[in-house]
Formats: sequence, C-alpha cells, structure tokens
Amino acid sequence: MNETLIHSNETLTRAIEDAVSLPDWLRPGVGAESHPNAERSGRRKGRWTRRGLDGILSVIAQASRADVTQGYLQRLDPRAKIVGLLGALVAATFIHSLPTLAAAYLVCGALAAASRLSWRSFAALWLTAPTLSAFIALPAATQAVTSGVAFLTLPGGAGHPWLTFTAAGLTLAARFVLRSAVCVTLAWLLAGTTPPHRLLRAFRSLGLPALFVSMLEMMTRYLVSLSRAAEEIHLAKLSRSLGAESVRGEQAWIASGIGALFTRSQALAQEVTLAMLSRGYTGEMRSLEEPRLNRRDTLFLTGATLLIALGLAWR
Amino acid sequence: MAVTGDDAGDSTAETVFEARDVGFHYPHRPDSLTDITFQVRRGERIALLGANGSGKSTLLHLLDGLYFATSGVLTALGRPLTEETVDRPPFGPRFRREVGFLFQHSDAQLFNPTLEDEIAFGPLQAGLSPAESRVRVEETIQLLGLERLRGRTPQTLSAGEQKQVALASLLAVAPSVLLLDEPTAGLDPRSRVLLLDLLDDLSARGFTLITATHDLRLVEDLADRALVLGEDHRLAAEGPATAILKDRALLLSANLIASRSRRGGRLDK
Repeated sequence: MNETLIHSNETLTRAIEDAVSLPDWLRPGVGAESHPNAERSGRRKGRWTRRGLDGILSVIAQASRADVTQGYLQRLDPRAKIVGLLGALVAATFIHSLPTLAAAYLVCGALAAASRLSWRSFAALWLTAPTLSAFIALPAATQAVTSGVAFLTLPGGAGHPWLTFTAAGLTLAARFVLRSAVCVTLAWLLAGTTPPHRLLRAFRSLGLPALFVSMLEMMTRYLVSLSRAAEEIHLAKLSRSLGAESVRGEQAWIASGIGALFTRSQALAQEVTLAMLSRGYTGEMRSLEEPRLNRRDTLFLTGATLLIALGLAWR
Repeated sequence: MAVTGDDAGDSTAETVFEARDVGFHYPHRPDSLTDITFQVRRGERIALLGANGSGKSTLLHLLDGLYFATSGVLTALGRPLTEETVDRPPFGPRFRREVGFLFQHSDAQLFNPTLEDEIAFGPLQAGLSPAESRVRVEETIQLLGLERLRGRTPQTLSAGEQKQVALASLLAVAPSVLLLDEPTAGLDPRSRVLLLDLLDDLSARGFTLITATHDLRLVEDLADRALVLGEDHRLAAEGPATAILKDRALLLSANLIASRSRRGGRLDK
C-alpha cells in the first residue's frame, strides 16, 4: 500500500514541477495593464457599506457592555429591574392622562440620570421613537379620522381649509406619542443597564422556558461572531477591489455576501453546538452568580409599586 | 496497516478507547473514515498524524461522542460509544466529565460572556454549586496564570489566549483524557511553549493525551505512540512515535513530509 502511495505522490510532484511556469499575465507590470477597472478613475463607493457595518458593530459592542458604568440601575438585581420596569411598562399602557404620562416620562429621565446613562443615547432615543410614533399618530389628529372641535386649520387654495386638526385628535396623538416614549424608555433603561446574559438569566429565574432563554443567549453570542465574520468578508472584498464600483454592483455584492455569511453561520452554529455538548451541556445555561435580592432591590421594588399604583390611580 | 517497531503499551492499564473496524461517513461529504482499529490505554500519549483532510478531526469527534461510528464498534471507558449511551446517565455524564476535547478553533469553543463564566460552564453543567464552581474557577485561573484575563470577553482574546482559556475550561471539569485537535496551530512561540509545558505536566500526572496534528515537530514533545491516517482515510500505521518519525516512506505516503525540498523561489520560466 505504501509503495502505491509513494508512486502516486512522486507522479503528483512531477506533474506540479512540469506545470510550474508563470503565465504572461502574472508577470510583474504586465497583468495590471490588462485590467480596465484599474485605469478607471472615480471614488470607491464601498464606503457606505463600511459605515453601515461599523454602525451595526458598534451597536452590538455597546449592547454587550451594558453595565460598564456603575449607576443606580446597574447595581440592582436584574430580576428586580425586570419586575419593576416591565411592570411600569404594562401599567403605562393603561394610562390615559397626559400629565401622568408626562410625569412618568420625567421619572424615566431621572432614572437614566441616576444610572449615568449617556444623554446622547437618550436624545437619540427621543428623536427616533417619539418622532416615529408622531408620524404614525398624525393622521389620527385630523378631522378626517377623529371628529370634534377644530383646533388648528391649515389653509388650502381658494379659501378652503387644507387640513384640520381637532382637539380630541391632537390629544389622542399626544397620548400615543407620550405613551410610546415612556414604554420605549423603560425598555431602554432595562436593556441599557443590564448585560444581555444577566438579563436572560434573570428572565429564566422568573420562569421563562429554558429552551427559549438558551436560544436567545446563543443568538446574542452569534451576533458578535457573525458581525465579525461580516466585517472580515467585507474587508477581504475591499482588499481585492480595483477601481470604482457602481452602487448596483455593491448591492449585488451585499446580497451574495449575506449568502456567504449564512453558510458560515451554519458551520459556526454546528461547531458551537458540538463544543457545548462536548462540555456536558444539559439543556440549561447555569450561572456562577447566586442571585439574592438585597435592601436596595426591595426599596426599588417598593418605590416602583408605589409609582405604578399612583399612575393607575391618576390614569 | 503497517505496524512500525514495538507496538506495546502498558497492557495491564485500563483501556480508555477501543476502535474495531470503525467507519464513518458524512451524509453529504466525500471524506470519511474506513476500517479504523486501535486501542488507547490509560495514561498513554498518542499522536494522531495525518495530512489535511485525512480524518483526524473526525476521529477526535468520534472519540468525544459528538459523531457516532456508522460501522464497526467504538468503545470508551468500557462502554459502546453510541448516541443512546452518551445521552443517558450514568455513563453520559461520567464520559463528559472524564473526556475533554480541545477544538481546533477556540473561537467556536468559547461561547460565554466572561472568562469566569467560560471556565465555570463545565463544572456548573456537571452539577457543582455556584460556590463550588467559583472555587474551581479561581484555582484553574491560578494554575494557568490567567489572572490578567479576568472579566474579559473570551471572543475578544488573541488566538493564544483563547487556546489557554479553552484548555482552562476543559481542565475545570477535572477530565482524565484530553483530546487535542491541532493544539499549537496559530500560536506564537511563547504560547506554544507554555502550552506544551502544561501538557507535559498533565501527562506526568497520568492524563491520557490524544493529539491530532500534521506538525511532526509536535510528535516528539507530545506522544509516545503514533497513529498515522493515510489520505485514503484508513489507518496507515501504528507504533512508537520515534519509529514512525524515522519511517520516511510512510511519512511520504501519508503526505506528512514532501519528497523534495523547496526550489528556493525559482520558477522554471
């Protein structure tokens, strides 16, 4: 058997030796001239892909270090935060009073400040969530949808009103915007002050099914690995790109890149699963932390319960 | 299969693994393993040699009960290694505790948010309490000198550091058998020496080491006996590592060495 293999090995070596000769296009200074794109001038348009990827990577990195600062909410047990903040979120959906919703929003701002969360991300949240909900709620403020006393009329041509907003409609829209702002901020306070793995384990200890929590936990791991793989694929492509690229070409590349990433993600998922099984995974992620509610958590829960009760009383 | 030199091991020692005519075929891939027969005894240091794609990693996956033989019989710790036995107590948990597998790509092996969580994963899965696991984590960190990596996310470490953390995560479960897939691949010289020293220490303390590699420099450091997988996915030879390393024809046929040296960068044309 060995002799046969040695023979085939030598044949292969001879074949390689015979074949090794540089084609003309591979000679230094020759090949480059045959690439039309290398001569084409123009700005490389791959930068917006790069910026988009950088944005996604920074969001993922930010999410994974949610408790870098040590503010008020970061020091609380995640279970207390889930009960308190999600309880407030559910209560907010029952509140109709605009002053109460505004007060709730102020409390959220105070919690964000006490937790030393970045005002820039708070402002970004304010700009996106309420603006988006205002855009959705705007039609409801018009007389065409909500009838009532005209509050504001935008004039059209020939003395006819173009658009009329009613007082009832504006109240409805304001309520929708404020309520969504409160809810989004409460969710942000929870996610922004608790690392994903601690948050998920807290959900598990509050009774969420193990399979569901494990899936979410693995998803957060994959996000980091996949975003890195996406970056590598993009950089590899950039390093082999010559000259200007059309936006259409870039879009086509993104579509094929998603396919390549999907194939990689499958392989990665399989390898991670095998690694977990190899280390005795029993179907449930366990934690080194032994969660205990302390006085601070009890105070937070009491305060949250009191505020929720007041909000519902003045709803 | 060629048997090179004296193939004795300590025949009185407990058999850890026994493969009899083991075959394995991937559903949609051409590579496979055919008619693999060997024994591994407690405390042995075995090198699993073979070129890229010869089936070394697949064989390690079989030995770790992650894949299962499609033909023949593979036993571990005296029990057949099948999906049923590996999944069920009392053998399943015992097997997982005794056998640790260091994957080639540590990046995939590390999936916990911090170094401490990573090392504690195995002990916690084995049923140790968080307090007991924490003690074990601390001792493992000290053993491997990983203090500088405390609190770091394993995915952000360098390749050498990831390999050390992956090994720490295996040792924390207190295994007696280590399956190592290309353990020094991608390591810088210092990390490589550190790892080899550690594996030497473990071997001296009675660990069974099975190392898959195509790096012959590693064999003398890590193995007393070697199994050679040919490019036809069959066991080409088995014997003392020193004798295998001297068998140039065997190494050539298994594509572990080249038939000639480099041309020094000169091309024909």
